[in-house]
Amino acid sequence: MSKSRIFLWVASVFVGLWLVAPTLVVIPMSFNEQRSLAFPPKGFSLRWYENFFASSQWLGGLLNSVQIAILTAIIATVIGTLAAYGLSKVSGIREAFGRNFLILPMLIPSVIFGVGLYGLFLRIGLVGTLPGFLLAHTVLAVPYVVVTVGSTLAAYDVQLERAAWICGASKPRAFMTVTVPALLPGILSGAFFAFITSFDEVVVSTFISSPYLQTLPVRMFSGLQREVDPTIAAAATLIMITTTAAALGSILSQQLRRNRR
Amino acid sequence: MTHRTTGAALALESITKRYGSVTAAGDITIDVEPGEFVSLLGPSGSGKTTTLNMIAGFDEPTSGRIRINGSDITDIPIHKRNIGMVFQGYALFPHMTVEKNVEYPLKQHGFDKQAREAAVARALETVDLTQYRTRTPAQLSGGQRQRVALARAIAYDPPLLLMDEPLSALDKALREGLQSEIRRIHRELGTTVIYVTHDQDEALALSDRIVVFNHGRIQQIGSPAELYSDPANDFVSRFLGESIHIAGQVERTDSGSVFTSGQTAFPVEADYTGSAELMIRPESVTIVPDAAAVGPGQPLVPARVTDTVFVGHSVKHSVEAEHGGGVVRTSSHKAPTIDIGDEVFLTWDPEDVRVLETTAATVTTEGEQ
Amino acid sequence: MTTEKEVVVSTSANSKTYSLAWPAMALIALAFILPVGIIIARSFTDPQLGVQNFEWMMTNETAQGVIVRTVYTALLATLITAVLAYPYAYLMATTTPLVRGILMVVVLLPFWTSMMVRAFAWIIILQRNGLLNSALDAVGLPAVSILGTNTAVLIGMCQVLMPFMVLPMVSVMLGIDMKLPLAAQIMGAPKWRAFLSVYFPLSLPGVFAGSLIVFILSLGFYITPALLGSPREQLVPNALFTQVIELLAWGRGGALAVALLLLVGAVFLLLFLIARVFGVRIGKVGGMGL
Repeated sequence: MSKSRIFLWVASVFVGLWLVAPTLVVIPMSFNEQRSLAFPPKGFSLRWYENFFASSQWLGGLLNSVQIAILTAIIATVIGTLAAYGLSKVSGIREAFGRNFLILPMLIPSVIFGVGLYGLFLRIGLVGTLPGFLLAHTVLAVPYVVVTVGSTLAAYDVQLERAAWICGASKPRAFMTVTVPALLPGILSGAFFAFITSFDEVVVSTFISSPYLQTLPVRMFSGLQREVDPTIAAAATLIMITTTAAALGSILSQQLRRNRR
Repeated sequence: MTHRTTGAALALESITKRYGSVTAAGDITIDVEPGEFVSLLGPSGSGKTTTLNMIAGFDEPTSGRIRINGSDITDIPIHKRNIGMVFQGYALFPHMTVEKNVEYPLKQHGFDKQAREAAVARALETVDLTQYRTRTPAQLSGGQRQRVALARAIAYDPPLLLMDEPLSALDKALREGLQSEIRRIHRELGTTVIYVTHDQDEALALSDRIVVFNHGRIQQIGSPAELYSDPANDFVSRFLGESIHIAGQVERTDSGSVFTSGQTAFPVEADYTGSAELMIRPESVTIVPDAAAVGPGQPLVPARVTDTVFVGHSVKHSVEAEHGGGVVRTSSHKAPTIDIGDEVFLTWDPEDVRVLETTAATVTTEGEQ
Repeated sequence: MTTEKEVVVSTSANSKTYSLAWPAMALIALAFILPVGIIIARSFTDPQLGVQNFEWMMTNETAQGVIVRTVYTALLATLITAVLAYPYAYLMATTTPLVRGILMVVVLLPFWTSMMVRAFAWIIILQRNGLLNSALDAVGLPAVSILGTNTAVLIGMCQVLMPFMVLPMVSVMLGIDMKLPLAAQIMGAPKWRAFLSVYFPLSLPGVFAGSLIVFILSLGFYITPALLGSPREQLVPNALFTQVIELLAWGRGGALAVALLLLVGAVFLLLFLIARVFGVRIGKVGGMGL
């Protein structure tokens, strides 16, 4: 191997470790015996997990997050898929406008959205409510569904739909029996994306949450600003497990698509 | 032979499709008899696919009506038209097995389970795919997918079957095999078939009648033999088969019409005067080494051989005359030896000649086949 | 045929199908454009009608410091990410498909990991009695105090931003014909000059695209600076939060939001123009709740 190639590998391994390794320190920390975040952790115990599941604030946060993420995934997937499908039927300015309009929430710093939504929610009484969270998270999740389903649609053979019509299926029926199943890998992948987007969301949630309704990341965020509590490590590990599972789900859905070829 | 279904009569009444100022298909009028096999033939962008799409209902005609068995279907939604269709690129549902694909139209048309099973079995048998019924399209070869598409299209015995370049994705050997299969299925079913293709040989081999398209217009409608021996214009003659074309003038004299091209002149049968083009099919042309071999008054055109290709049963010569050229075939076992660069003479029986009026719309079809 | 299919697109039936996009459009309009519009409006109306909030922003030293620091941090983050991502992307583009796949997974993993979890991990590593100082102690070096500084913010930010730099770079690099630098070598250029004079210029569109995306994203970081940085060295998003939530100064917060939007908009315009000129596919750009 040439000298420059060795340099390339050393640099890349450094970058790779930097990307992946730091996150892993969270896991041993969650099994710490002591009430400290000092590294390396001392001893092994499950007390922080016990603490997590015994605390109504932590466990409640987790349950809120799961509930909101599932509902967000469902709503965002349905309206995002319909939107991506509708956009695929037009071209030119209408298509470009629609697509860019729908991915705006991806592009504008979420702190601006968060502040604005907080202002709006104060007036209409949605701060700290389930509908408020669903609205906010769906806005953030729809762009991912539109992009993911849109890229699946780009490879979708429109002849399939025509074939279904010719076979005697009405348009809604053809959509449900042919288009949706054919797009399923992209739709599922988009749904997992939407789930993760909601489950991980902190910035906007910080603005619109109240002591009565908090998500897990918001609870972590306020916890980190106040105290040293390894329960946060347990919460972080649980978040990692959940998002990793969802990510695997998404990757497997993409695999489904490849197998069909 | 008893047919499984009665083919539908299809009438296109002056249908036109415009996109802005572009006419994709203009003033298309075709009458298709029940059970007829009609090909829509033409180069890319000639309007044949647009016409098919209007019959299927994918495109709405800008004007004109479409009738099936006399009743107007122009405004009927696609799924109520009762049409079977084989798509270019098959359009098989990737998430369904072969069996489910074939069953799909039966389900949509409300057949009960028993009837569906029987029809699926029969359709798969017709295309000889019974042993593949539990496979998915991804597990099939191109030819097999094509036959699944065919089975799906015929499963519920539609009176009208549309085929959009169904064989264009297959290699030559497979294509010829499937051509005869399509012919056989058409005979057995008795259904009316509208077949879109850009392949002249395919159209000639399959069709009862061919509709030749160019630039969104119908150029000619006729049986393969009619189109070959009596093309309506230059485009049709060049698009279908090989030929020699010679440009010149038709003049009327006391003894009848005379065709003049450069120094040669000979009598022709034509009922007009002006610039025209002579079209002779290669098998009607004889190559002679010198002018003396031909009697006076007979057609005689000097030409140069530019290429000679041995193709088995015959030898194909490309010739160039002063005002035209084309292809001549000679029989491979009794042909005089002709080499590239030879100066020869072309002659033919005056009866085998067609005089085509030269029109502005005449276009060559280079690169389209 | 292709021409026929292209014009088929805009029929009335297709326009009807387009209406399926309306629910999503209505959602974005009402629950995204409206709130963002409200905060912009309030910068001109709160506490009273006028441009007093912008005057404050242009004259107040703290506000000025916040804006300058934000742009400076974003530039620094972009530079660091670009320098580190380039060799990584180059290796990805020039290695075997298997290694490329592994490197791709490594780059994509952060996409899936929660911002919160990553910020927390950096706290564990960078705090006074954290992993870094334990390691330094073990090899006999003095402890460092990084947590609560802009350095810590940059370390955390660049980790998050790396994928957004690597992916556009790789997509451009994969399109570069590897015979070109070889051709330069045959013409007598040494390896390094063949790289610098042929490969590097061809890869620049990817570097530009990645840099612009990363710059835009770094302007909007909120969680990472809030947890790893110092409250005395705020960035615009955190200052915005402080103004609105703690000081209830909606107008000033709105002015900061407008400043941020203008910065993002200007860079987007640049990105768009460059994409037009070079024909670069920028791919997925995600806010990811930064």
